[in-house]
Amino acid sequence: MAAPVGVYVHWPYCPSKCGYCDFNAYLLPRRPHAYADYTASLLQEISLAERTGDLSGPLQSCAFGGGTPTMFPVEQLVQVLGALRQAGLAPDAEVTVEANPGDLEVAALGRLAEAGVGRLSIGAQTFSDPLLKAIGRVHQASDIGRAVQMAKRAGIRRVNLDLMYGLPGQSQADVAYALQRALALGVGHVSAYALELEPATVFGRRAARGELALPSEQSVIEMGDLVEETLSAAGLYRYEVSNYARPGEESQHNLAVWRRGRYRGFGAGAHSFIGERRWWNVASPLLYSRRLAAGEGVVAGEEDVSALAMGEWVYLSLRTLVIDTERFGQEFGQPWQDVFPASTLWAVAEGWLSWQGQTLVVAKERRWLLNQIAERFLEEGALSQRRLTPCADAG
Amino acid sequence: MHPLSRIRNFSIVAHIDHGKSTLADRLIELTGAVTARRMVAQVLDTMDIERERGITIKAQTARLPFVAADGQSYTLNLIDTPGHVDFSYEVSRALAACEGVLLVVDAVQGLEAQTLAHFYTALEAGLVVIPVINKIDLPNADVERVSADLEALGFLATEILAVSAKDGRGVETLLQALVDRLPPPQGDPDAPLRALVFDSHYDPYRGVIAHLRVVDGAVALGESVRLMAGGGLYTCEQLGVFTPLPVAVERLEMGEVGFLAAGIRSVAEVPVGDTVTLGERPAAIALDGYRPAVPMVFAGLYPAEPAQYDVLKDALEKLRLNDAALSFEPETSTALGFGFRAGFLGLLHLEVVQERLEREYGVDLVTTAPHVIYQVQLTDGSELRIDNPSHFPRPDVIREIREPMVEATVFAPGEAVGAVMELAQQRRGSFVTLEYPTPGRAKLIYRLPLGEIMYDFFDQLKSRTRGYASLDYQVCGVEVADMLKVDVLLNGEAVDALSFVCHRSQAESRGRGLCQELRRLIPRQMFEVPIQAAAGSRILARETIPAMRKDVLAKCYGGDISRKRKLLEKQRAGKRRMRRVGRVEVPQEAFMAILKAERS
Repeated sequence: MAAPVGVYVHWPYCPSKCGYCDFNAYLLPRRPHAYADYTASLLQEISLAERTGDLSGPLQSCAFGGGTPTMFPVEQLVQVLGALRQAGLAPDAEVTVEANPGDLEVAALGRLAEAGVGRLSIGAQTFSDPLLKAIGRVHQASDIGRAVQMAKRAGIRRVNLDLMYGLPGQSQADVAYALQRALALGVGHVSAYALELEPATVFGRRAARGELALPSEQSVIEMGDLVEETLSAAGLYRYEVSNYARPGEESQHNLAVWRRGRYRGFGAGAHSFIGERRWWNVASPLLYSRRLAAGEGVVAGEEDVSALAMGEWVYLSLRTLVIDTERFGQEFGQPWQDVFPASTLWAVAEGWLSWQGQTLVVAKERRWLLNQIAERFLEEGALSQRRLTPCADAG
Repeated sequence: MHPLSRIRNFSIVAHIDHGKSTLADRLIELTGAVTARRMVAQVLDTMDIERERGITIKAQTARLPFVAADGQSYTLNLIDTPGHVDFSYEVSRALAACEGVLLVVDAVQGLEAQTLAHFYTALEAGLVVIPVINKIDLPNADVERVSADLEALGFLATEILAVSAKDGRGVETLLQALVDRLPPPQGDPDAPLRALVFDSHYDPYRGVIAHLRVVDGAVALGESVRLMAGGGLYTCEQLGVFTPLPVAVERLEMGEVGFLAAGIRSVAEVPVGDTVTLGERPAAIALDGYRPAVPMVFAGLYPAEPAQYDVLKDALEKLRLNDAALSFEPETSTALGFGFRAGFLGLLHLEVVQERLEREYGVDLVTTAPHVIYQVQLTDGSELRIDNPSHFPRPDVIREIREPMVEATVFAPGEAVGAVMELAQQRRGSFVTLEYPTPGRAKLIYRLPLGEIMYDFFDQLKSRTRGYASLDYQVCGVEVADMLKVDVLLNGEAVDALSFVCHRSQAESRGRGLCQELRRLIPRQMFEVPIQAAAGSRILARETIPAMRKDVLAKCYGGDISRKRKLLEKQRAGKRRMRRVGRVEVPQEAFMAILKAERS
């Protein structure tokens, strides 16, 4: 059974809730013990997983996400990291922590660096104060530079800035300015996300009522193209739809996810993927803690994806805009051409993909339409798998 | 079997939802025809679709034993009738098999269009009508007002019964009233057999089961029987009565209601309204009122996946065994491939067939917009009957076009009269009469093109009267009209399955409405898709579906994989259900979009 190569820990609290956010995040709790209680539950879930053998693999990466992990007292983060080390997290594993620019302190960051955190992912979003305010962020543009400096001083080697485009009221100039500022700060990694409207968010509801002045689709595309041009010119290449890095500075944890690597997630709403089973915990932090305290399971749902493995592999690979067909063959013991003959023929003939050696590369002008390719490969993958492994159902 | 004097044959008629089926259930239950344990709500509505929609499509019958006040036991034959205007001919045949009807009126809703239609049909057929106010258990029941309305129709206050089919109140009195007020069957027991076929159904083991009312004479097992209109000669293999479960008997005599099986292979051989007589001693004259089923509405039925053509064909053939009014023949569409042009009694009939094909036979269907028959006279003197817009001749060879008309009765609250008239006029209706049969309720009669009734007329009527209007219509003749064929071009190519015929004065607005509706329904493609509506070479309207520019997920991390993969799978499955027309993927609903075009 495929063993995990990474771990994820979810920290579900935030100082404010942003208009676009549909993550499993909750406003800063009033109860004084909320943080400690939650951390204790995390430790409990980790030790349970250790006993059940969920963490048997060589764990090469770890990501702390949220919510805002840095809202928790730093010693609690360090304690959880310690527990993961004991459970098998490799000494040289890349450990990433997500952070808000506004609430960081050098001492705390130093403590994280000491504990092995080598990468800080800062939610900058934009460098325009009015826009930051409009989307519900609590930080200001000037905080971002300070946060990057602090991380460097604290000894955290790699810094990522998260940026957003396509925000209500945002202009090309705003995006250009944000890119320029980010590059001036010397970061080696930028994630730039086009705004997606989720129905269950403040923005989703406002957009449905027609109250959101969103840029046109055409301007969003221009913004995205500007991101790619500017960042590649500065030496940050696009290694995923929304991620840019200097070579060697790619997020190890996320790369593993897109290679369909296994991971174990801890915390409220966290997702895990081990063997061919994906499952997710209950979303509410309170319920999560209560269930663990009562000795009950925290799994809210699960899915057996063995029949979808091949298609899913391509769907994830496509995130990186290249498909390594040789690696596919090694992983599944089936030649690529036997599994995806029709989709490959179509995609190459219609100019979506082109061969470079054993690799299929997504055409530059089709990157905005990636779902159109992914859905075909998902479908053919499922059909081929049924055809190639006829005994799977009976077994 | 009881002597004639102790048989009563009756039907229940009511506007839709006024509780006809519930009353039938209660009668069956109270007379003990079906034991309570076997009683499923609404035993008479046997088809799933009927039960779900609360309407009766196929009539059923039940023989109810009843001990009356005089201490004698009687046989009450309940002949259930279909409850929708599409089936008014079937209703008239069921009524012809009775001596009386229960006219059921909802204690809250009061009189409706079909209540009146049924009332007049029953009067014209010379039947005894017993007015029954149902649903008196409802808190807002207004028995007094509904009684007054019924009195306005000419009933005496003392004749009117009040019942609750739901809790059984008043039902006993109603049974006694059937015995007291209805005459026993009349006829000549010694004359040659004449039995009226008022319904039939197909049984996979015994062939067609004809539902009969014996008017004159008698029929026994083993005798040879002949259908006077259908022409077939058969041997009577089985006779029986419905209790409502079928029970075999050896003989059916004058005045009785029952069934006959004679190895008949298709219901089309036993048309409703036909007369059964004996092969050896035939009657000279058939019973009155037989009329072959004439389809009024036509639509293209295509399999969503071309490979399912044979499944669809097979399913249609099986359905036709049980539905004499359904007709179909193969047709080919450049857009939709191989399919069938099918004829129906009306829109509801079309919907029922569509649902049965999908539900009972698992066929995924693409249906084109329903269409009426136009009689087209050409300049060379010949005449065509056009049931498919793509066969419409070129304008320069047409001399004259005639379209089928209906007389529509709308029953609506007095204050909605203006809104109803406005709608009828928009739909090219001509005013016939306006009456107020009861205070506050208006009865409007309009002569309207049948084709106009298809365009969402009933929904529009409901929305303009806040749901209070009811509609009944009867086909009546044809009229000359200036009709025009409108074509739709997708990406520059004419799509035959989207063409429609309408009056010249409406071509532009309907063309525009359809283009707008199609723009809404057809998803963006990889390229820009122009949609045009054209009459001949003249473009009436144009819309454009912009090319798809952006379809990519911004994020896909560990926690997103399952949910977002499912989104893509759903998107793909949606495309699978579309038909490719030229280079454009068109969803199935688009082929019915014209019906909504009036609204946009």
